[in-house]
Amino acid sequence: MELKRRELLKLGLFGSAALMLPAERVARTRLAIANRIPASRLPRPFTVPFGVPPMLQPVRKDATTDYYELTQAQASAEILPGLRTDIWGYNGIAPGPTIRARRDRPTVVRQINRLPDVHPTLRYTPYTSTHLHGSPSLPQYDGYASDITSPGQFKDYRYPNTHEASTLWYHDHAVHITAPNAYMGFAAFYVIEDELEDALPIPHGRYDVPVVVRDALFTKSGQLIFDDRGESSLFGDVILVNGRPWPAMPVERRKYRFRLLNASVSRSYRWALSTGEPLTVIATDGGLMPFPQQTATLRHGMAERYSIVIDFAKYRIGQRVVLRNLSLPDNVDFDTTGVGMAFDVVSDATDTSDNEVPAELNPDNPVMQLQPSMARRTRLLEFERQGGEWTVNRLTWENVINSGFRDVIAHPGVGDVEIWQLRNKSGGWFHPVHIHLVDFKILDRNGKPPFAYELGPKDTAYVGENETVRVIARFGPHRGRYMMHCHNIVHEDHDMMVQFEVGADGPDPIRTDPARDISAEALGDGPSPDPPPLGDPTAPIEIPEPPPPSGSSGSGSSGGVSSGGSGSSGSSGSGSGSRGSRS
Amino acid sequence: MAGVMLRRALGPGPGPAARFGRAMPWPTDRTIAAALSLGAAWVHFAYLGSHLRQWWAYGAFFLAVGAGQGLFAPLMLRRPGPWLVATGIAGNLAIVALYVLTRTAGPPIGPHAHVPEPAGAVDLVTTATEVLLIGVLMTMLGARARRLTGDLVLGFAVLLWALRLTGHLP
Repeated sequence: MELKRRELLKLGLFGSAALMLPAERVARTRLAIANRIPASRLPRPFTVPFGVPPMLQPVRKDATTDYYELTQAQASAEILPGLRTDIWGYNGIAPGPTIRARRDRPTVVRQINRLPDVHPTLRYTPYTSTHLHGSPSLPQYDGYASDITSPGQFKDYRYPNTHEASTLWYHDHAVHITAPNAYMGFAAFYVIEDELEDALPIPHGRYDVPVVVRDALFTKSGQLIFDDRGESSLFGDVILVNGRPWPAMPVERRKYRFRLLNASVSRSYRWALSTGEPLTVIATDGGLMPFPQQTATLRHGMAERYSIVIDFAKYRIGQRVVLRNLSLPDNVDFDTTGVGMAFDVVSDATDTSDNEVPAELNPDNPVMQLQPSMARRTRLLEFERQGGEWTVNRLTWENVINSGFRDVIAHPGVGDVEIWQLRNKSGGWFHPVHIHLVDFKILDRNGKPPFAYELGPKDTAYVGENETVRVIARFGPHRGRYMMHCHNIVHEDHDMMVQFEVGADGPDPIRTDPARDISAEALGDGPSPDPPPLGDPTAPIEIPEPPPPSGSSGSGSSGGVSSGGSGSSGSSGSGSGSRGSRS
Repeated sequence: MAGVMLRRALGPGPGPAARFGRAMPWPTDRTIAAALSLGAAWVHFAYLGSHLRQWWAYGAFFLAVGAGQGLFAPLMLRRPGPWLVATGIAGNLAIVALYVLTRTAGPPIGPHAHVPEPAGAVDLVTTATEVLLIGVLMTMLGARARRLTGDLVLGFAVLLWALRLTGHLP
């Protein structure tokens, strides 16, 4: 057995391709981790000024609708002082621009994918799908994971904005690459305002501050490192608040509202003030709570939003108050991750209007009126890792794809009230579980009452280690297939995501209104005609009314336990109590 | 005609009768080839279940590859022949090329289409085993077949590197 030298060379060249090309991507990550910027070169906490994302202005308005346009693009940003970082962002910034919408005034948001052909280090093609998290959107505008927009395409997302005043956010949801896409920067606020909230004397205007928190890892040259630890989780050593590392914000001696959003890939936080004073929570994912709640610490999972009010009037000018992160189990902590940001009290209040937290906020919130006795059935959803895959009731999004997107894990009728038990049998992981389309009320955790700060409408529930969380929701107002998944987006990508179907014969989320190509010229060096103008009369906006009560039984649960029978969903009326139904 | 040409190409080199004769005792090279093929088959069977859970076609592919490589070992020991050697080389070349594709550009079809999978130690070792197996099998061919096979291997190598260097293989 002998190979000639020439044969050995040929085989060696082939072997090098067979081994080095696959190993190249892994090696890049390993090298990047080895090349991680040392803590000594990170900025000291509270030396970077605080900032807020800019507001996005509509490109046009008409009698009924506001039209926005966003370009998903790569850009170079100075996140760590003195270093440049390649990011992906809506309009090239991360976090992206904030959209403020009025309740019941629809918007159309055009998302144009002008990303490069491949991710700078992971080398995949960056298709996207944009989810407006918390919005009861139609299926084809919900950011369905497999409804993708490839580079060189665009999609117009149509949002009804029927939801109560609330802090929504838009972020990437592309199948199997949500984590690296979002990690590059695809996250931004979308705030819905309404008259009820306007009328409350809570902080408004410049005292109503969006705060999006995430973590990240950087190389010595400032580039982001994506290390998902063998498809389990990603933990960074730099805490970014509105895109800035551990910033300090000057505040007046008065109350401020902070809309806290955790946009991290895998990290949860436990917030507390350095002064030991409690945080006053006034709103959760789905909007104002019925009553404000005080808490010394706040457990904050990925995708959850909590509006907290901090009263700086009790502090002296010159005092610094630090928002500390006391951490939670199953996070990987660094010396640098124990703080988020600081507030420097710099002056007395220059405006004392809207400086209260009333005893009642939104006591009539329909979601919070839901009672277990109203539930038609109870389903059990178990979140666990099996054979290296993250599963829900032993199913994954791959099962959904392989079924031609037909497999559903639950099939509630339109307007049906159901209790879903979200169970995490593991002590090694936590799963923030997000159910699309609906808001829910948390009934209990392991049979005990939820935390006080969870007593508001939610769309994401922190399901901690060995916890079973019972939530109740009214399913609607739309028919169709919607996702539910873990919002540790590494878990989501691999592949802890399934879907449920409300009613029957809803719009197909992929085929009803797919992404369209920007004209070929726009992709080349020639003239760059943009996509057709927004509001093109050939593409009328159709925000259908919630469908009438369905006579369908909605009994098609797969894998769930049913305690409520399979009766008709028709008796519950027009879906009142679900999102967008309260007028 | 093509069959005749192929048979000629595959035809035994020096000492042909002895190479593939039935009475021949198991030489080292065939034993090594069988062992390498069995090793690769074992890994494919070991990961069959997890791939089957991802997609039935992934599972079917792993089953086919594992069965093929597993069957190759006893055939190599008991019924060796130029066609078996050629099949072994072609099959493993295709498997290795597909592996490179899945780790760089992503699987061409299936639920993870176009999303590259990270390379792991086990699959890299298995691929190295398959490359070695191709090398061992090459030594069993006649001179003309060795030249042809060498050129084929070189063609695959040049193609893969060219695709990578021109950015067609991310």
